[in-house]
Amino acid sequence: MSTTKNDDQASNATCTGAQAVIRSLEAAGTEIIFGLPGGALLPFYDALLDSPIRHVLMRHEQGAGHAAEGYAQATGRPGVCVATSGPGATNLVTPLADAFMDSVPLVAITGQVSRSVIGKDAFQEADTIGVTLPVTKHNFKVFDPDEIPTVVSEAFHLATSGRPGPVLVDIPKDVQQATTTFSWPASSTHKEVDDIDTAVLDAAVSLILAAKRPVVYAGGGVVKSDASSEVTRLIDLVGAPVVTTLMARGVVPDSHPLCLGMPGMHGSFAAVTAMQRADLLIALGTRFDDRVTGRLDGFAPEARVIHVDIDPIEIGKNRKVDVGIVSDVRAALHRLLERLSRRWPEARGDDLEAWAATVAFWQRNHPLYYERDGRLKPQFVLERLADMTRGDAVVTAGVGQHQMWASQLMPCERPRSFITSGGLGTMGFAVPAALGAKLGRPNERVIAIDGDGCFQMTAQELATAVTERIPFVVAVINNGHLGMVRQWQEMFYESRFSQVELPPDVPDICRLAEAYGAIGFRVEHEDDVDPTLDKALSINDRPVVIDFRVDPHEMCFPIVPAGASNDEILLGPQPAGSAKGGR
Amino acid sequence: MNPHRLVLLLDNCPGVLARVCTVLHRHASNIESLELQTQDDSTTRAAMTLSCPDDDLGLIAARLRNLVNVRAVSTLSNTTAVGQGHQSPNRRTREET
Repeated sequence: MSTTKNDDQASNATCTGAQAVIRSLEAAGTEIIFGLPGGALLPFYDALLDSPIRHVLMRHEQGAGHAAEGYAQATGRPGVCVATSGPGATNLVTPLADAFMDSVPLVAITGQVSRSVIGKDAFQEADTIGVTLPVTKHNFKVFDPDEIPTVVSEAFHLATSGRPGPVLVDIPKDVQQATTTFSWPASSTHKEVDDIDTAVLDAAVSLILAAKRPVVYAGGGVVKSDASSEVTRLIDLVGAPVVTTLMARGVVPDSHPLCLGMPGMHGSFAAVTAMQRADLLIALGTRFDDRVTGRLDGFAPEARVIHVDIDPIEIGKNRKVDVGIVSDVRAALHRLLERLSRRWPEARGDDLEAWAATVAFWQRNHPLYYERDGRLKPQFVLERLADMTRGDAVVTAGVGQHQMWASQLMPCERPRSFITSGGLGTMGFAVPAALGAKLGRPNERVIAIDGDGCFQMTAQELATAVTERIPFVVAVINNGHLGMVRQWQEMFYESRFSQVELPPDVPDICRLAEAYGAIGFRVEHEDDVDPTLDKALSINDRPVVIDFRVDPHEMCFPIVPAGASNDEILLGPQPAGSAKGGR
Repeated sequence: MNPHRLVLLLDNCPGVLARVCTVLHRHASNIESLELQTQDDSTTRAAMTLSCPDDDLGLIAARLRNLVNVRAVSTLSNTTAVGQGHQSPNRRTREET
């Protein structure tokens, strides 16, 4: 059972298990995979030599997983990552958990030790199925080489259907070496979501017609179901403001007058307060996450709730609903809009002008704001970046203060233009995700907004980007601290700073970037921001890293303290008279 | 922590109980009794008594229904605690109790 390279490519031809895996990936439409080889994947990597699939050799399996996530989120197609047995597979756990929380379609292929030594503590053996069971939508171990096409087909189907998520396929080395035949299954047995009960739709329409203070609460499910235009039609028809969660930034353009931006812990005052005062929440593809709701029993106390989600788990999980609709968001909105527009505007009692005026007042009177004092402020850097790109970029972000500033300040005009780790909050996400996003959207400018703590967790993927000639800009908001932890210690632990300092010169980020073969810039003063961004944005043959040395004392506002009600939102510094900074 | 009766129809395959138990463990639910009966080559029936907070039963059942190797879930509890909404409000045809 040796690997032979030039087997007949036709269906049903004899091939090795490894060749069957590769052909299955090809048949599933895979163009790019992110991975790192190892002993248990030698047959797979040998067979890969004869495939048109592009393999991107990452420097760490975590990077492979996040790159596949970035690719998936940028394109809407499933990301594929590959890792060897044991430590290769366990290094994938973080991106799998990340993809599970954020419903990112991912297919992970892992090598496993040969069947005869499974359970014998063989070299690089780990129970990959057991380890990844709680962080995948499903996982498969392949014992029979003849099952490979069916299993891979099913993995892609599961990853992309219903609520998307990560699916792992674990393949022992001797299964990859065994002789089999390749036959791609005609079609998998898809379970379609049932039609929506018309009584349920009528109940939703009645609530919308009766609402005086409705708010549309759009989440990541809107992105997954490509329902941006339907959501925009809904808010335009009803005249209801919309909030776009961290996972849904851009589903309605920020420039739309009814778009209030991000809700939640660091959301805009208008977005948070509109939800708190709403008498109806129309929640679409979202899960009432604690970062959005704050203390649950104080969240939107007067609101009735229509909740549309494709996953029945979410309906009523955190917040009781008045109308629950288990459906793809776009499909549900089509049905809802059809019924709603038939009765609009005749059946409508009051118009929503007073509500719209109140919300607009909140927006005008509580803009994002920070004080400029001569030191380089992170918000200033992001404002300049926003001004110079004007929404014409795909932005990835890590996790922490810089992520929240990025979400607040970078204009999001399109879905899939802001990609970050939401639910799991995975530091180190931005650089590998930018790499994957750039490969998925090669004609677009990609910018990773990162913190200095985050950057050091996955900076090795700069080597991948340089080697593979994948250009993107990394803006490191370097405050020499684990900034969000520092902020919480300052605000909620009496400034008792514990283990949050990261010396801004260790490592020297510029020289580190140069050592990888990337371009490195350092910016310490406001005056240097624009010229440096100009230079960085004009480079398109390799990654560029800009080390922005920002004020370490700056804090991210607004903030709703953890465990507090959203009514207890803290605004931070406020403009005296006319605003001298911020937007 | 009332006892709740749960009957599952499972794929008859290695590791299927581990998948079920991962969900139960996440909700701090303890198995008080468990009876397994192979139905045929492909299916196994599991009848169990669980202790878990009443409010969690609906979510547990919903999470179990989402498992690929779980074909059906019935809650035979004498409580009415199956959480609001977890029963697919627009999918009334699925196997429910």
